[in-house]
Amino acid sequence: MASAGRGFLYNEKVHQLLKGFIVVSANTQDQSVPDHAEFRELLKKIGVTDAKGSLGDVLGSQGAGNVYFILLDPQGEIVHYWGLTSIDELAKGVAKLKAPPPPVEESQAKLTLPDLCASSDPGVPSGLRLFFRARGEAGWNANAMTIVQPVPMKADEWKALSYSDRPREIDAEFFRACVTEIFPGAIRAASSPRAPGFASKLPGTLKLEPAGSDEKFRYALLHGPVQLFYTRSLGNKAEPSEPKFSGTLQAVVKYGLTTPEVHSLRGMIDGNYLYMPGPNGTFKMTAAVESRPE
Amino acid sequence: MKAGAFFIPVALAFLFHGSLAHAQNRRGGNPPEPPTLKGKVAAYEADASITIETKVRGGQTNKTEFTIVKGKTQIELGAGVKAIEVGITASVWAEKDTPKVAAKVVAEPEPPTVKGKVVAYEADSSITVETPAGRGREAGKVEFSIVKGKTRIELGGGAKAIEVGMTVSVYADKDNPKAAAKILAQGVAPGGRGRGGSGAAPADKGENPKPDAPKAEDAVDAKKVLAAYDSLKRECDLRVYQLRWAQNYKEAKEVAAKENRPILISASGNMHGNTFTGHT
Repeated sequence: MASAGRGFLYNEKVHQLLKGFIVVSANTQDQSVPDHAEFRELLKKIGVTDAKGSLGDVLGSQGAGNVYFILLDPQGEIVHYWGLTSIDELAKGVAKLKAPPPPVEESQAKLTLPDLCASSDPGVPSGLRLFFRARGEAGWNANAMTIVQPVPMKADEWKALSYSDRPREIDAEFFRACVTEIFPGAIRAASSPRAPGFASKLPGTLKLEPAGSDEKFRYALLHGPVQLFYTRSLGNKAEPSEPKFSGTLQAVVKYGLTTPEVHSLRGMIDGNYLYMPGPNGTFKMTAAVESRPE
Repeated sequence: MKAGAFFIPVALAFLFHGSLAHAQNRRGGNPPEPPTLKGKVAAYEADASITIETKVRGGQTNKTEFTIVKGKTQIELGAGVKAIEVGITASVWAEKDTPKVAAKVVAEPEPPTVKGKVVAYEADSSITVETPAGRGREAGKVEFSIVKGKTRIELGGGAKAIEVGMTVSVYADKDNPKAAAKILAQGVAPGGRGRGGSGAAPADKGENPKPDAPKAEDAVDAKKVLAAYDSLKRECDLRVYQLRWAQNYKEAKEVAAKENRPILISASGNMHGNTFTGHT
């Protein structure tokens, strides 16, 4: 579990100290992150030489958590690093900077949300983006924290939603990558569907129905059940009897007047995520879903 | 583009649902390829064949049989159509190379006898529908009896019950035209108008199916979907995104060097995790 780091970044004092900073997320283990190798080079400067090593190895009892912070100067040189979500440590790091960051212009004070790169095919969206938070009863604080998760998609995948002037069914599989991301923050990493070794499937169909047009666009309604099943490729190979996520999808799909390609999509996925059997093991999840870019 | 800006055209689209879709086709764009044949289904055997009956001059009828190839012939069911059955209207697109084989079969939604606003309703007794003036037709009111256990009532578009003021489609009983065999309630469209427009529908002649007939099973409402989407986004606590995030480490270093700003790296030590998205 790793909720503390996220919670730390919600703190108002932290926001004050980080005015004028560039903030970025990194992962010490996940090699699928594009600039992971570059980040590992930075870790070496701190003394993390093992390919699987983490900052905790260097920090000892000071790095007991699983979220670490590294403060760099504008030239990318390490100024300070620490392993606990301590405002004092952040303040120490800020004090070590040779000069305070330049002030932030009001025009720059906007939200910077996780997003997708432009599509290789400008005629279709680059992917989908989810906004959600868990609503379970289990008590860790991260439940209330919002997750904003982009889900890249290939241009070819969008063909499944091409406009039709007749109602038709499409494979729910279109949303598999998207539904796979709908799980609470701060659950055990090895239990999440993003952990290595998981295979998933989203069987069934959704209904796509034309819903009129206006001067600029045509519209369609997309709706139906979504049930995500996943199994580990190692260990238990039995087909699961219960879906890991079970819910419904409702969306409005927008098209150009003369072209069948999807222009954009907006909707919601509402359902339950089964974290573990027993009380408090199921999370109510409701996600807003949108295509990007709009 | 703001959610609200997206919402308005969709709401408008629903106000003009159907008619605009037709208008768009008339304007050109990408009109769909017309079917090889449209007509009543005279015979149907799943994964085997379908026979379409069409009317010709002099009141005669023609029957044409198409082969259905399992896994190859595409079957589409229009709104409210549960299955292909004898008597419903269907369109068939023949294979170009083998014209006796159906490439696609579309079961058309059945046009209602009357579509309009409910002006009077008594459960298990009667319903009166107001039909506005249309082309060559005066405004009027049509009353149908409702037979308990026989008249089928379907609620769509978020409607909880039939109420005065909502738009409904009524399908008369073929044996008793004054009795309703089926009533489809479409709820109230954005702006308070009945969704899908209103007016009396022509009798089904089996040769002019209406693709924009009411959506019998349509329980999804575009306005509600977009409102829910908008509401979900607004209730998200996005304070953490008031920080100046870079999308990745490389971008952070580039922007920091360019603007002379320090960087804070929030690193997760889990096998995966990202404090930017929140999936830590």
